[in-house]
Amino acid sequence: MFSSDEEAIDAVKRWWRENGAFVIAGLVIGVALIAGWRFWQASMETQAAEAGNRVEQVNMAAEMGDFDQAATLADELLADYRRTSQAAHGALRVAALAVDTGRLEEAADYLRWAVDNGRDQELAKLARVRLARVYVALDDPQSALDVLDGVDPGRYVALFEEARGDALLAAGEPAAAREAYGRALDADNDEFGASAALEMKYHDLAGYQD
Amino acid sequence: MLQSIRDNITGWIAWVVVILLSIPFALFGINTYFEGRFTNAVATVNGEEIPNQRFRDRYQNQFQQLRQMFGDQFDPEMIDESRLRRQVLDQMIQEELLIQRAEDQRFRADEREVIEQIRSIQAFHVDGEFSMERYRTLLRAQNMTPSQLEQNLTRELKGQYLQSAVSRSTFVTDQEIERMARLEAQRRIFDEISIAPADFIDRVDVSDDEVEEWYETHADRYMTAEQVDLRYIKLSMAEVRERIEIGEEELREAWERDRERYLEDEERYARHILIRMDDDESAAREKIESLRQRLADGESFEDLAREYSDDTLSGEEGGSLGWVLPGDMVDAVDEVIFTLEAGEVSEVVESEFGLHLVRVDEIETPEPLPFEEARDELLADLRQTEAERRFFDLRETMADEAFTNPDALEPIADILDLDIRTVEDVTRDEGEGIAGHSRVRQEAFSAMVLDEALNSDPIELDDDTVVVLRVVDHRPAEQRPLEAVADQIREEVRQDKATREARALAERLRERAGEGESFLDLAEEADQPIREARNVSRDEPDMDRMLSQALFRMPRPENGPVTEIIEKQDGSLALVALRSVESPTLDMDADERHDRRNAVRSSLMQAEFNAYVRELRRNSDVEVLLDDEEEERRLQEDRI
Repeated sequence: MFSSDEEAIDAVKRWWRENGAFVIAGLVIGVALIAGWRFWQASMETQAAEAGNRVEQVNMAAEMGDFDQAATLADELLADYRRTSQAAHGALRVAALAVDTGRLEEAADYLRWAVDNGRDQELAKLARVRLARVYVALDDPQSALDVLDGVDPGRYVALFEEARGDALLAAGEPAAAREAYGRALDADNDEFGASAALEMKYHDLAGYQD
Repeated sequence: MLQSIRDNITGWIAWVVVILLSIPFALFGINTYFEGRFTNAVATVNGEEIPNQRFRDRYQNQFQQLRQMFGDQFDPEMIDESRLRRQVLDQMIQEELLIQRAEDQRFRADEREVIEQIRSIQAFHVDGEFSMERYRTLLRAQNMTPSQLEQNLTRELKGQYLQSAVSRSTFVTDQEIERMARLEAQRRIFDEISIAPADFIDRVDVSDDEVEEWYETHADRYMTAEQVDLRYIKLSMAEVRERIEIGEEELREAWERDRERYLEDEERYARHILIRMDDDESAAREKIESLRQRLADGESFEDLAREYSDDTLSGEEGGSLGWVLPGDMVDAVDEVIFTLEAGEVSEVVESEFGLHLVRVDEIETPEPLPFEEARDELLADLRQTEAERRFFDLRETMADEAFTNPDALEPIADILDLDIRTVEDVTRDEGEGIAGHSRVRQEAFSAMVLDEALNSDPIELDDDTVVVLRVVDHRPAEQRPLEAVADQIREEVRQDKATREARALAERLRERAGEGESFLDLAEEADQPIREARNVSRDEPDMDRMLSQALFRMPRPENGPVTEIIEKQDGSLALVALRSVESPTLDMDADERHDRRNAVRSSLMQAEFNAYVRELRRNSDVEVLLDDEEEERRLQEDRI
């Protein structure tokens, strides 16, 4: 194409005059993007680390059984680190402590938060079953059913259906409850063999089919 | 165009291009570009590979654990290997998923904890302490750098953090605990009429026609077992060893070479003091301790032996036992004599004669044995070494020949100079001699050996025995003649009829009970035993398991008792009328509540965590690449 090196150099110079600005702009944008990505990553990392420390503090307070302390720490965590996936772990831990200390309303609030805000979808689904069980304990089976209905339980079938059965029984529908327990048993049997407790609940409702 | 690039590549343009290309490498690292292109993975989890090597290590590990768990009862055949492979792989996939999720959530592993974990790994310990040297050596052997190991552990730790984060928040509500407690404490009150088929046995008749009809309809129950006769050749270490001849010449050479190994027994000059323990044990112990103390204070062993030893014969000689060879004395004393240093006085030793103190005066270092005396041991050793070598060769030959001569045993037998033996009447389930091994029977009935009539592959019965076999006669299962089984069938028919009669009676009674007749009257009329108003719990002691299970699965009575016919474990029938279900008022103290909560929580924890991981897997891109088709199919099914 080119008869000599000189011509080649000219061609490149010409090309550079026409396109050089784009190349440089492209490089600058590229480097900026990479730098920005890295910066963002680093800041996420820091945030996650801070959230992780907070969760650890919540855990410690919860292990001590100090609900007020744990709740205060958790509230801060949920407010300041709402967008981290770690926050849900804190919410779930306080919820468990709340149940253990007889604060069912509070437990429901924290579980509700995890259902609505949890970044880990699989974990949020677990929070959902737990929330339903707390509603049953609160003697509010309708809310429990509302939480469970219309959601694909995925691999949580056995847990979902058992909770649904509990709720239906509390709502005075033993036949439907027995059906739900039956579905839970089927799902469980596929995997590990059903728990004795679930079998007991199911058989205790014998005679309610149809 | 390409040509011109080639022409100019040496020019400065080439440099520009190279520099531009190098930017991505500089930023992202060259390793991500070339890594993992040609690896050999058993599965990929969201693009991350699980290497075959790691899978195999893990599998081996698991296998060894099972082996240890079962100890002597371990039989490799009781393990379903493909199932175990699947379990191990599933486990690894789950762990990988968990780790990835933990990394997504930016869990951080504490560096100190990683180091702590490395230090606690047994394999890196020497004398119970972590050894840096061993750590590095082992890693090198595994082709791994310390930072790789740290990285792996860091990942694993993150997975564990996530697991405990999920499990930690499992709870159980009071209401759930109470409901469970009430269900468990439930009692049921019922009447039971027992109807035993055994009572009807004498009342039923069985005709020849019935026997014949039963024989026809249950033909498959009266078959002879399928049998084969086998011919086989057996190569065993013991026989190989018998045949080995070792010449005098060879023996002498070996002795010259190895004479240091064949030593005379060591001799030791020993003394002892004996205190008998005839009646008063503690006095004897006190006495010997005081003697020991006096020896420690410097008194002469010989003098004390003379004065106090109950072994007067040696006592007169200052306790001397003379020169002693291993095995000359009773075991306890013998052992002490051959562990003491010269001049040392032993601890108190107890033997069937009493308590001893022992001292060794002199130790004679053993000399090499003269050839004549070493000969037997030498011969045995040489035989064993030679036998092992030859056995190994013969086994190879056997495998080769079995492969090249699939249609007959004779050529293999000739080459190996072995006899062809037979074992007859081998079934799939049992056989005599070598057919006692299940692997032999499995081979004998395999498609290759049975249907294609070929030699089997060499079968290792144990480390020292290998056989190759073929089937010479095959007798398929066939129906046994009626005469041979008539008596047996008559009994079976009788049993069957009796059961039916019993069942029919139970049905009739049940019907009448439904019409309002009293259980007591019914039992009396039918002349069957009745137990009224039994009040039982779920785990009532001494209650038939099937009866109690079925009883607690009956509907609750609402208008009058509910009846049911239940077959008990011993085959008899129970006609049951459930009168009422009682849930006793709960009286749970704090301890019981606490225990119950913990028990329920730990099983729920398992269930919740398992569901979480399996849900993770459902929503992830997991590809199983195990080459076993069956395995792959099952794993795929699992994901649907």
